[in-house]
Amino acid sequence: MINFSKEQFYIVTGASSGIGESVAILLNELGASVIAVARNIERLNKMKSKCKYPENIYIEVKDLTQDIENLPNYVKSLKDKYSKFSGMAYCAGIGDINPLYTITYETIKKIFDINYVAPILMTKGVADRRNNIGKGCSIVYISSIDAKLSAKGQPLYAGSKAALISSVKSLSKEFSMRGGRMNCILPSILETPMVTNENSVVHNEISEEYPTGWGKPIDAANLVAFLLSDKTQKISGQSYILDLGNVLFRE
Amino acid sequence: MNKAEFLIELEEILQREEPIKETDKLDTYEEWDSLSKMSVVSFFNKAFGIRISMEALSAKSKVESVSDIINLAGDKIQ
Repeated sequence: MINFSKEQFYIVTGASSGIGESVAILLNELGASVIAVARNIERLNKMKSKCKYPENIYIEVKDLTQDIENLPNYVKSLKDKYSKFSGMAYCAGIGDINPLYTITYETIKKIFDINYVAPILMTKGVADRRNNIGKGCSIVYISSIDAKLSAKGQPLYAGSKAALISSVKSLSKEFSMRGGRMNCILPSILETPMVTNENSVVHNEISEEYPTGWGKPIDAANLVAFLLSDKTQKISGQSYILDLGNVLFRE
Repeated sequence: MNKAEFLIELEEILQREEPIKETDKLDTYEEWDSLSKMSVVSFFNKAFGIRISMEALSAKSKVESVSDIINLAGDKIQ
C-alpha cells in the first residue's frame, strides 16, 4: 500500500488535464499535499473539485514557458510559500504533429521548451538541497513510448521525450549525491485530451495500431505514485515502458 | 568579479543555507563533494576562461580553505 502524508509536498505540473490531473488526484487521495501547476485556473479548480482532500491541493497558475530561465527561482518561491519538497511529477507537455514540412526553429523551440527545457530547469530548483527534504525526494518525468518507437510526423515530440530519458541517467547520478532519485515513465497512447481530441492527427493515424486497447491516465498515475513513494527507494535513473505490451508487438 | 560576489556564487554552488566566509576550511563543509568540485571547475571555465582540474581542487595541501579557491582565479576575482 502506497501512503503519503500531508507533510509531503509534491509539485505536479500539467495538473489540470490528462496524466498530470490523474497524478494530482491520486497523490492527494494517497495523502500527499500537491502543488498543482498549470495554465488554466478553471480546469485546475475542476481537478481540485474531484479530489478527496481538496484542502491539500494548492493551485498555482503558471505557464512554464514564460520566463523559463527563472524556473529554478520559481521553485524556490514555491518552497518559501509552502514547504521543502518531497518531489515532483513533471507532466506538462505538448504533442504537436510536425513532419519536416512544418519544422522550423520556432516549432522546435515550442516543443522542446515545454517538453525538455522546462523539466530540466524545474529539476534544478527541486534538486537544490535547500528546496527539498533530502533523502526520499523523488522526481518523475513523463516521457513517451515515442522515444522508442515513433510514427511519422513525430520527430520533435519523440526527440524531446528521448532527451528526458538520456538526461535522467546523468541527473540521477548527480541527484543521488544529495539523497534524491529520478526516473522516467514511457506511456504509450493514453486516453488524454492530447490524443482524443477529434482533430488530433495522432488519433486518426495510430489508434488501430493498439490491439490491446489504449491505457487510461490512471495507469500512468499509478506508476508515478509508486516511483515517488518510499517503496522504490532503490530505483533511480530508470525509464519504464507502460504500453500494454505494444512495443513487443512491433519488435 | 569581486570576492563578495564570488562568495555568493560559491554559496549557490554548494547550495548552502549558511553564508560562506573566506577563512572557512573546505573540509568542514559536508557540501564540498565531487559534484560541487565539478561545478566549481565548470564555473571557472565559463566565468573566467580558466581551466582547473578536479585533482587540483582536491589536493588538500593546496586547496584547504575558501580563499585558496579564490587564489586559483588569479586577478579574475578582485
